[in-house]
Amino acid sequence: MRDKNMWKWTLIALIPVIFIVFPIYYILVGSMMTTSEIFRQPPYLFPPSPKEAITNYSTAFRILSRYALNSLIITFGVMILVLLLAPAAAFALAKLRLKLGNIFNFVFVLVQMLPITATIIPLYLFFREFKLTNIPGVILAISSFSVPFIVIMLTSYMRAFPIQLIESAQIDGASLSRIYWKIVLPLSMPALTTASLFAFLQGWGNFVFPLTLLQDDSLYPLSIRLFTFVSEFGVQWNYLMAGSFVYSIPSIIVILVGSKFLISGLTAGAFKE
Amino acid sequence: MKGFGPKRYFFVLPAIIFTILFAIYPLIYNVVLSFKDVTAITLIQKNTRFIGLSNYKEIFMDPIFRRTSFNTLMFTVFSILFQFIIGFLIALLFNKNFPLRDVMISLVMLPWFIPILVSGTVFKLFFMDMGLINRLLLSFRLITKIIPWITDGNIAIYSLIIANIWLGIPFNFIMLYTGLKGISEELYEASEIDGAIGIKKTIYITVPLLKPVIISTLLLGAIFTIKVFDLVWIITGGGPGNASHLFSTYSYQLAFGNYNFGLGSAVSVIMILIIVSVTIILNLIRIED
Repeated sequence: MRDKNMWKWTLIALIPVIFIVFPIYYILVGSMMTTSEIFRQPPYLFPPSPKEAITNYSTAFRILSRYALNSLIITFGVMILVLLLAPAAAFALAKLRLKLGNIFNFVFVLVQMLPITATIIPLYLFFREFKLTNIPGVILAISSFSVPFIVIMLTSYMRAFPIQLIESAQIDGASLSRIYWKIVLPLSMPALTTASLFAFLQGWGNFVFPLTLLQDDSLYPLSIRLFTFVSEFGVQWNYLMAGSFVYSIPSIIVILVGSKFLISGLTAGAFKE
Repeated sequence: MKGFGPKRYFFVLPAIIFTILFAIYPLIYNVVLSFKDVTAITLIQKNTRFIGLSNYKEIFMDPIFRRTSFNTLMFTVFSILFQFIIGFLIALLFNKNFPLRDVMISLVMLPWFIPILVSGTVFKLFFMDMGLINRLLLSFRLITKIIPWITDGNIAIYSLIIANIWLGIPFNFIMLYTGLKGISEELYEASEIDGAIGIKKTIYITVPLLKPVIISTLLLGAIFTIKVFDLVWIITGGGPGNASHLFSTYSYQLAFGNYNFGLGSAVSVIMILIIVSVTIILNLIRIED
């Protein structure tokens, strides 16, 4: 009886969910139609001949595979850099009572507030000078926003880390780096998972830094290659839709599988101040 | 935690040096650039000299900048208003314990983390003259003539607001949803005994208890919204005729479209000052509570 009643709420909740998911659903639909079907009047909301998907996806794969590799390199670069720098800083800020801790904290919070345009012009000018208008440059630029974001998020996790564990290891004579590697990191796996998922999404989805810093087309990640689709062959929306859907799949998987981690990370960071 | 000495700083230094090198130093240099004559031409001639406030004077005389300021204000106010209301309603709805709720929460989160290029592209496809929205409206005979959603300079900014509301719902939803979860059930039960139901319960019990969360949501929402760049750049590129620029896209257009880096920096400095003031003002409100 009670259960039946509750399904009613599921149906009501479905209304906003359908509106929210519709744009993503429409990419999938578009990827299974020809361009003239996409622009038919009245419009199709289901693909009339889903077999078109085969042509669209194989074409998209053919054009995009090398750019997918660039996206992967950028994403893993960002993840490695973030995971090397952020957890250690968060540990120190949360547990090591640094005299300058407040100043460091302020630096990270400040960067989190900054718009991308606050640093992108100088970064472009510097990177041009130091020959960093390439994939390593893009990794550094994306990480310049991701590292502070993840430090703040991880700091609020690390605050909850039981201090007794650290203190008893200290009494046993363990060095600080040993404590960090052998106790703090292994026991922070959920937090590190959250951090990795965010670093993945930020590296994979970033648009403005590769758009600005890369001049050589062969280095483009998927975001920029797909962006040039629109101007290049503005008519081939079917390939663009197929490519966009493929590009979205990793993010969709991360969101659906990792949503618990993502939500806990976001709210941990946001309520901290 | 004493006894580790200065070694403790080794843990935080790599991250802090990295951040200073790639974010704080560029931020400061951005301010310096805004006082200099830095264009593609002066860069090649290695003749980038200080010109005092000239860039700022030029910006404040610029009619596009005035339009951009108006757009940014509209964009921020309306985006936040609707994102917040819709996010709040969904959060109240999801506060009930119904089947499949967790899956649906993940689905609501999608807009936030789908690559922005993809969401921008699909909204472009929706808003084009022969895009999905016009064709749907024509089919249902709700309009007889197409609406130039992104091809009319006076309408484009409002279409961008619609797209941005979609993008911002997950953030507002998840903040408020988590906040609601923190309000204890007993309080509701007590209020039900006192005869509070439905909307009354929401207004008199939920909203006051949620006030800190609401203020945080609005504060962070404001910062996020003023910063929006990609969505606008992908859907309209600030056009048609520079009519739908925000501070962020106009700064970018000046720097990377017109190759006037000094002018672009000046716009972004103004933008940073606005973000800082908004943060301070909203924080003061928060502290007063």
